[in-house]
Amino acid sequence: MLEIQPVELELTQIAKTYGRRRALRGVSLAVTGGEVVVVSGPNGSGKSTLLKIVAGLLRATGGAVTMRLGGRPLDPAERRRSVGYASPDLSLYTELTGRENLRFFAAVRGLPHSFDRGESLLDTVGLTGRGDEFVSAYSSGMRQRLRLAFALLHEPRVLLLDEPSATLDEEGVELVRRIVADHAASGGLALLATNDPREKAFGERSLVLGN
Amino acid sequence: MSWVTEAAAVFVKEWVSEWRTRVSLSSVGLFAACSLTLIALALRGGAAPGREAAAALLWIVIFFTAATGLGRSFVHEEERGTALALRLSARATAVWAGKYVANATVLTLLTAIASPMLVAMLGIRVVNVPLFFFVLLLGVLALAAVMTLTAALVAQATARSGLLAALSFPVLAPVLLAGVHGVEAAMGVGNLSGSIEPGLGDLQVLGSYVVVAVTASLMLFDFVWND
Repeated sequence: MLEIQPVELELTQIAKTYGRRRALRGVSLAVTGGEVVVVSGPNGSGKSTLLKIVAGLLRATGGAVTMRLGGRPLDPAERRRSVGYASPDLSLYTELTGRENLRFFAAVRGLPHSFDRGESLLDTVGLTGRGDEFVSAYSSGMRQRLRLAFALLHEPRVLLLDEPSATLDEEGVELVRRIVADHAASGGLALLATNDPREKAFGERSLVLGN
Repeated sequence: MSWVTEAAAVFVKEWVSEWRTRVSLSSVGLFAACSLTLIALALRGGAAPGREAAAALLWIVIFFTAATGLGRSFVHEEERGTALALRLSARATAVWAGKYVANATVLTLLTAIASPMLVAMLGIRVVNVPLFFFVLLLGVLALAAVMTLTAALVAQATARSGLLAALSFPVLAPVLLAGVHGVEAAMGVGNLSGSIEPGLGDLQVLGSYVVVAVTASLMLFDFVWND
């Protein structure tokens, strides 16, 4: 039986500026495994920026991000590869099929049994029977489902989802709710950036960012 | 072993994507075909250029063809948003290595087709074929290494047009100098006996350059790709 490692995330006075524009100022947060935090705020308040900083995709101009897995702090490169991340500006290869995309990303992650994992994920996100179609032929909702599969591929302990239900139908919204709930139940932590009232109900904690 | 698997996965994905979209192959092939056609038309009925000019023409075709085609892979990743998924999944050095081998393969294939055609069109005899082959091979490997790294830099810029050639040219000057001189020696310029001696120094320069360029790229790419 695989041991589940406890995970913790601590943000201390995170600040980010783009040139002279201040995107984030003094954001602090501490989250532990099993918790879901909804990050909300008006457009331009820095929700997506905050998730990218946590993922290690952007460097904060001030403050510190500390992520611990099994008590060990992760450096930004480890953080980047360990989180499960999905956002509207993340795309998968349109010239590959959904299944080929998952196999490719599993291969570059060095995941064993990538074939089985990819198959079960296609089922999980509701793409059963559509895995052999090119992503270019997918609807926006199907692409969002594939993004969710991409985020879950390596069974991350930290899930960062930016507007996860955008472009999804009611069944898709329920899928996101189930994914987030299962993730928290297994001891993982999740940050959801959203202003959608349905998604706000997925988390028991909230962080509201201002302009 | 896992790093090699990651790099191999990137390489295979590059070729599958390339085969289905033909983004680099079409631009590289078209540029090379246009260049060769123009040279053929310019030489129609006239005297063929000397061997020195032929060596320079060959490297002009290879350099600008590489600048036209090799930059596309990273630009395409950034424009489509797939770079984000790649950054989250693969080690930077594995991405560079996979793309480098893919770019080097495209450029080697192109050079294998274009250089015999150019030599035949100009009616020049290659007096030392192994020297000609190794100078071109090492030159292409060096060109691909520098251009793969520079292409990742250029892909982050807003104004990309022409940047790859402009940034790569000064860095690649030693490669182009040794490449032109090595090809001249293989074509018999000051080397009528076809000896390898006059081109030996060029081979050493090119071989060393490949080692330095690959090592430096592996060390620097993380900063270019992730920061």
